[in-house]
Amino acid sequence: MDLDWQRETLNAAIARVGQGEAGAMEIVYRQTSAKLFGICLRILGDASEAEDVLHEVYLTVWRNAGAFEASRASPITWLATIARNRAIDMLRKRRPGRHGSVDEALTVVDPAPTALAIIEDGETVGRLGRCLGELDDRQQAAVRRAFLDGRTYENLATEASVPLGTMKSWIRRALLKLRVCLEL
Amino acid sequence: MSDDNIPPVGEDAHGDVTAAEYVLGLLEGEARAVALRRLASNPGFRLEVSAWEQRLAPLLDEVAEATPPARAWDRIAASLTQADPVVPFRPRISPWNDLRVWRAATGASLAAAAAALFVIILRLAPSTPLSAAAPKAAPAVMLARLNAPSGETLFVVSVDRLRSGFTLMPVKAVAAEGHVPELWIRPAGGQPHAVAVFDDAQPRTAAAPLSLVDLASPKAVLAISLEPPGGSTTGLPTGPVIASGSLTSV
Repeated sequence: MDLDWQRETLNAAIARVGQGEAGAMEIVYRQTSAKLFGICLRILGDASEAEDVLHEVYLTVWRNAGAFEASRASPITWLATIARNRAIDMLRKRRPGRHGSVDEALTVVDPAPTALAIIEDGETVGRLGRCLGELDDRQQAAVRRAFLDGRTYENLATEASVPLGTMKSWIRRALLKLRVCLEL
Repeated sequence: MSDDNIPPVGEDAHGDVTAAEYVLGLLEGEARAVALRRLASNPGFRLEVSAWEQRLAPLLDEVAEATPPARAWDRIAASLTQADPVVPFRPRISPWNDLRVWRAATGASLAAAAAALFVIILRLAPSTPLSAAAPKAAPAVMLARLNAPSGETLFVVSVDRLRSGFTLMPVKAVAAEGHVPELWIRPAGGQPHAVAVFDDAQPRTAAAPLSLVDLASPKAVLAISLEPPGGSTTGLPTGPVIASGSLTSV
């Protein structure tokens, strides 16, 4: 409802977590777990894996909250990005392909807790929507499937019944267009 | 680098959308591994990734919320007591609770070491606000207490990523009998890398190449082994590992 108020409460709770107050963690959890679990579930499609990732995400928050800077960052963007990255990481490890072992040796990098406010910023949300709208339908669908559902190039090519190279060039063109549009 | 195995769309650097591909999660296998390595080693790439994360984050608003089962919180709450949070160093709040342990354990002869470490922390903390530089994958200054298997702290090591150095403070002299302590760093799931050989009676700062400093992250483990003078020549510890501990940010 009142986004500013929500954001301030969350900021205050994260600041207390950053000082090692375990009780404040519960506030952060109560306010954000439905959103973060939703993200994990959407990407992983499996409640028990999503629960494992959620666990990891909040431990990451517990360890890194001290570096979070409320003045520069949107707390929910920070948390949501950690959750998405961790879920994608789990997804890629779950299906080890030809190079699975290489992948597993590396650890996902959590977003810096200094990300700028975005999610609550209506103007920015509107701009992303407008820029996505400038892409053709296939490109837009592919970008959304990748970001929201964790699809790889290969998955997307199979789903759209096009060669892998075709899918790569669709998406790369889309990303270049998107970058220009978003930076203007 | 092998991230060029995908033909670029544009002909110049601006045509490189690897950061966006990584953020979208499109990459798998070797291509993803390459991107993760770049993320660990290339600050410019990190910035790009962070910019794309921010550009695309509003899409996450479309994701439907889902209430996790009640046990999820119980499990998290139980883990919190085992995983200490990383309390950032601020002069008032300070990680002294942590450091008091080894300070108390040290004799007067080691007061100098404690003072030296204190000076290092005070000098670094105000001059390296996290907000001043680009977002980093790991904190600028990290500390590790290296404990013997008995739990006794033998060394405290600080890693300064900005100044690319490891500082080793002996807390307790270790009987070495012609051997010297050698410091190793092992990233999560990786091999140990030699950092430097130290004298166990004196604090010492060793400049380290960026490749080593980049291994210093809150999941990395530092360890001390006893080696012949000059250090292990095998690239791996040859003598007994007498103390180890993981890094936490200051």
